[in-house]
Amino acid sequence: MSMAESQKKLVVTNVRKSYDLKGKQLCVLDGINLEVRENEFLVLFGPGQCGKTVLMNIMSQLETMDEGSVVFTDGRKVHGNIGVVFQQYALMPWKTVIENVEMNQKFKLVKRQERRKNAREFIKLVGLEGFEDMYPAQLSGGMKQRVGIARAYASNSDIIFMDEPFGALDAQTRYQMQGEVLRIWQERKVTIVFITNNIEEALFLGDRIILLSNKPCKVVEEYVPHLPRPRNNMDPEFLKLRDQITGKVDLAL
Amino acid sequence: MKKNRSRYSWCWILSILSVGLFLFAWYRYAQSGRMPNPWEAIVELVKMFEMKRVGSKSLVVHILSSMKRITLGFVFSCIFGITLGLIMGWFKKIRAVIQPIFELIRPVPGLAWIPLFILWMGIGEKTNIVMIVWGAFVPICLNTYHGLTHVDPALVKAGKVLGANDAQMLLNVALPDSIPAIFAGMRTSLGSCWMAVVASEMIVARSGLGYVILSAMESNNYPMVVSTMILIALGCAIYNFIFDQLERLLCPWQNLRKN
Repeated sequence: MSMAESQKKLVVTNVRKSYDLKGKQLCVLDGINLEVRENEFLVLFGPGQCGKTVLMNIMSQLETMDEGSVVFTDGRKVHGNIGVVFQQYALMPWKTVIENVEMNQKFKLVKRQERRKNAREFIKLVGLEGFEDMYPAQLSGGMKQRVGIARAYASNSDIIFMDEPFGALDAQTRYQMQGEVLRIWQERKVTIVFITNNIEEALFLGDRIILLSNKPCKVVEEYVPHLPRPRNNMDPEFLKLRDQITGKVDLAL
Repeated sequence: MKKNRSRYSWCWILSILSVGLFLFAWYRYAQSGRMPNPWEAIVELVKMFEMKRVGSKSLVVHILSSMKRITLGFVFSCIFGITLGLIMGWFKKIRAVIQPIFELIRPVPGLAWIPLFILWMGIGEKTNIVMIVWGAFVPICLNTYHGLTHVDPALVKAGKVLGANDAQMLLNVALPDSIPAIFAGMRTSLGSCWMAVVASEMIVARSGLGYVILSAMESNNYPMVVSTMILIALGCAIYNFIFDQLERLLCPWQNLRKN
């Protein structure tokens, strides 16, 4: 087994999915092949409505596929052992911040004291110390998504899926959260699969960027930006890569 | 939010005016001699409290027995309604068995069952309580059921990836998400508890406010009828107030706004 082989975390092979739309077959995913490697920040970048979320739902076993396979190389039971950050937060409004963050450990029947300790650690990591007993309705969008990130991390999983996590935030908060997600990732290395339709976000975050096409969704190209972090979106290299990818997107459309 | 509050803060004046207008209209209509006026009703109310006996027992005993029936009936309605709604909302197969029977029996009003209830349970406390529960559990049951079948799909997804099993999903996601619906059902049912208790006391009881109204009517004492109606309205308001406080206590996340 080569080095690259052993580093694989998740392998997606030839995944197809179509929906029945009033008798017409609508092909959403047309043979997706990709692999996710250990501790990388992988960005799946594609135009809006291209089926990225369907792909994420299939990878996290929230939806079934028509054909193909999604294999976690360690053969884990997926639910309960991955982290997912949703665009619309999906926090339980009746649970406080800490109760939301500890849900996975609670479901795993971890003792209260222990799971609280675990939750506190990640609440601190995302910078929400002091907000443990607040309800989501009392938090701003950016803070809600920090809770979402803490909750995903607190599953103690080594892989986290993020589905356009900052899509609902205003531009200023979005930039701030992009920096935060990188900081958190650099402090606690896990594998991140990050879905976005924003080219700057993709280039700012990704170790690897996989470009997806629209309707049906296919893997078009893979980019590995050799840019030092923290990246600067005025850097000529950054802009060059950005133009290159944008050109490819236009073609893909 | 805040702006609205200050802009409409004078609206309580409208409420006072409307109550005043209502009392005035009542007073004017009472001059025709077809009903006692508000003042007569209040005087009668005070007299009733002073009397040793209204019908068979003192007024306080009547009030207490109505309250006891409503409280018991409401608690049983909640237990029965939530349990049945939960079963129907969560277990699809059991729902398929229960629902047609439920839909068949439900439209027949509780009052229509009185002859059968009396045949089975005689005239007594049991019949009163069953009468109340019969009407009051339905909105709780339907709302629980509706809440459980309309849980926010995003929260279900989150629960799944966080590793919830069926029971954990019910307790940590579906049931709490249904609480607003369940409480709305309970509120409706609290109102129907009062309706049912008065109706059933008129027929199958020797105590309670419904019984007082009926015996006042039989002795042509209309001021007493109206003052008992006032008591019922007050009781209803007090129960609703307690219920509001209970809801606020049990669901602190409701009515929260970003501060």
